[in-house]
Amino acid sequence: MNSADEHIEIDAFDREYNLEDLLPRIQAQELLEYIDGSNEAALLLPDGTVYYSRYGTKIDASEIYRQVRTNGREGRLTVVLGNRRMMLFPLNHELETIGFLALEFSGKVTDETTESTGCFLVRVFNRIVNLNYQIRMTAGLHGQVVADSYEALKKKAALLERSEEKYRILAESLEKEVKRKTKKIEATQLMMLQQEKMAAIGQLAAGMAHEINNPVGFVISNLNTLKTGTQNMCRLIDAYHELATLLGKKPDRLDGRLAALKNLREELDIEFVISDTAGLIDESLDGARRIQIIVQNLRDFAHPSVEYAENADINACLETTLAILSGYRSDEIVVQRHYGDVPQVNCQLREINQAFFNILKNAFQAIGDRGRITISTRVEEGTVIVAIADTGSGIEKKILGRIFDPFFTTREVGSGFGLGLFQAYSTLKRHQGTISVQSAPGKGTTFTLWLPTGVGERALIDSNSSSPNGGISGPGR
Amino acid sequence: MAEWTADGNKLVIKLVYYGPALSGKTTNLMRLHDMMETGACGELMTFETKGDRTLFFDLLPLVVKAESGFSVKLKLYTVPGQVAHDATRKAVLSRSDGVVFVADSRNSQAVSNFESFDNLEKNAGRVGLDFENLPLVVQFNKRDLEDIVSEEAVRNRWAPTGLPIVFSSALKGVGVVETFRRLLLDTYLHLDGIYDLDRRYGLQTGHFTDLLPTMREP
Repeated sequence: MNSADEHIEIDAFDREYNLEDLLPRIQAQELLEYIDGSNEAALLLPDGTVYYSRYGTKIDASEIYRQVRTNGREGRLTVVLGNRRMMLFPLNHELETIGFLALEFSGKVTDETTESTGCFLVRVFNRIVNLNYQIRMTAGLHGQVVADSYEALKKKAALLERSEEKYRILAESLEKEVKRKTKKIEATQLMMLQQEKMAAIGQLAAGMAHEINNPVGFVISNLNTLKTGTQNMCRLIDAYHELATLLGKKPDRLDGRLAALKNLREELDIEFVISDTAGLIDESLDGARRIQIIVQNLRDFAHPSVEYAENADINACLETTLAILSGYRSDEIVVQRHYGDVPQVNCQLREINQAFFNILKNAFQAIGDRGRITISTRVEEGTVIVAIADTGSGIEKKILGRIFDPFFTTREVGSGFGLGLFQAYSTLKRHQGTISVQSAPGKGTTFTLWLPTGVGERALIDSNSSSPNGGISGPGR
Repeated sequence: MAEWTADGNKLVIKLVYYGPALSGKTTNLMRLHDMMETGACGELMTFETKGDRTLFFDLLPLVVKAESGFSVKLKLYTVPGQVAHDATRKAVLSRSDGVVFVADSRNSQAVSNFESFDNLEKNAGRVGLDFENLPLVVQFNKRDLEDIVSEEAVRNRWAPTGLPIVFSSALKGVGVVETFRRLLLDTYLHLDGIYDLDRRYGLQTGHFTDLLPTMREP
């Protein structure tokens, strides 16, 4: 194949191919080599002009035309061109694209020789031309189809590129959107944690009010009694004062005064007032102290947001929390304390208290009216372990894995946000501790908290730098 | 679109046998080739045929000559019926002057026929053919087989299209020439309307029909 054949044009595959396409001159030359090289051999186009001539013989097209008109296109013609006497074979059918084969024979030539030579050549032409025709057409068709597909692919690629661009933008905006939403959720979560706490404080306040009301009631009552008693004492003292004055100046009137004074003492029941006063004062002092303790506890619990780590006695923390929760607690609930001798834990007290509060509150709620809560603390390898076991309703196995998830709650809508255990979990996590739960429905639940000593400052840093929902996936289970 | 040679003395017409896979398009061309007089008929070129399936196309060139010296070269093509070769089908169909739709008469092939005809209509649109005015003959082939759609049912179904219907058995040579004759006539009329073939070149219907094998159809 020469270069002319290698070049495939992408145009209509079934167009009319010309001789240059089908039989390039170099191939025509090769083909005609079959014939004795000393003589002229030429291919003429249908109109008689020379397509290829071995020796470049000038051939008069009008002579060819005349011959064809006289003798027709069938069979062999003879033309004399210059000094050459040549056989002219008109080519038909698929070969009519070529036109004529012209051959010069030297010496004596029989018709048989020329016929057989002609036949041989025509067959070779036919083969080559047909083959080229087929190759060109299939290659052309193939090229066209490939070009078509390429165009289609290019269009598709462009479309894909566009949609990819769209998706990229979408993904980018999605990322932004996710970040925005995450921030919003974080903010909401914080807000809800705060709200939950405020709600808890509200509930506490209600319990607290009840607790404070009793001592305040009897303190006021005592003070009223004291007020009346004191007024009476004052009258009595006034009377004694008058008597003392008379003693010096007018002794004659003493008897009457003494009798009046005795009457007054009896009237005012001073003996009782005197004996009652000390009791009233003691009782009131006790009431006031109780109020002081309650308020102190509340203040410890709802400590204003001062985020610092401090050394805390976990046992004391548990006691404070229990005291605060006393409003939740029915008298029939027994709290057993098995406090071990645990070291102080450097922690964020408020957070830890809140965690204890959340777990204990759940425990009280799970128990209901009657049952037992066992709180035990111990220390193991620098970690304080707190176990809070209740004899409550227990947690079903299928939801056990979700109880630390934020917003997971089994309570009625509106009565809990489902953040309590999440808060406990995140707090423990921030203190590099963990929390785990064991539960059997109907028998009770035990929460175990591992709280390493001395990580409070770090926990503080972590809680400020990382997102608060870092522990969302739950504890190691 | 018929193609004129450079000297304007020859018109090349493209006729395409379209249809579902294995409906007998190549068989139609082979029958025609066998029946043609060698003088007017070139070699049937079969490209890359493998297991009875035409991958490229088949080509049968025929030549019609008027006394004026004007000649018409008819090139009969088949398209590959397989669904996968749609790009090739489009290329072969492009610039065609007339189409034979070879349908498979077997009941089981109704869907293939429908899909292929739908594909023909769509591809005609894609390659810029005026499908409404394209000379088109519908051939229901394989009438020699069992379990085929009845002629009545075919006629009823195709009546609304107004297309000429020919029943054939290409394998046995029945209906092949008739199909081609219908197509030749329709194509001649269509092209005469465009190029004024009779008045300008003295080319008449007879020149086309002379091409048909006088042969005895079996």
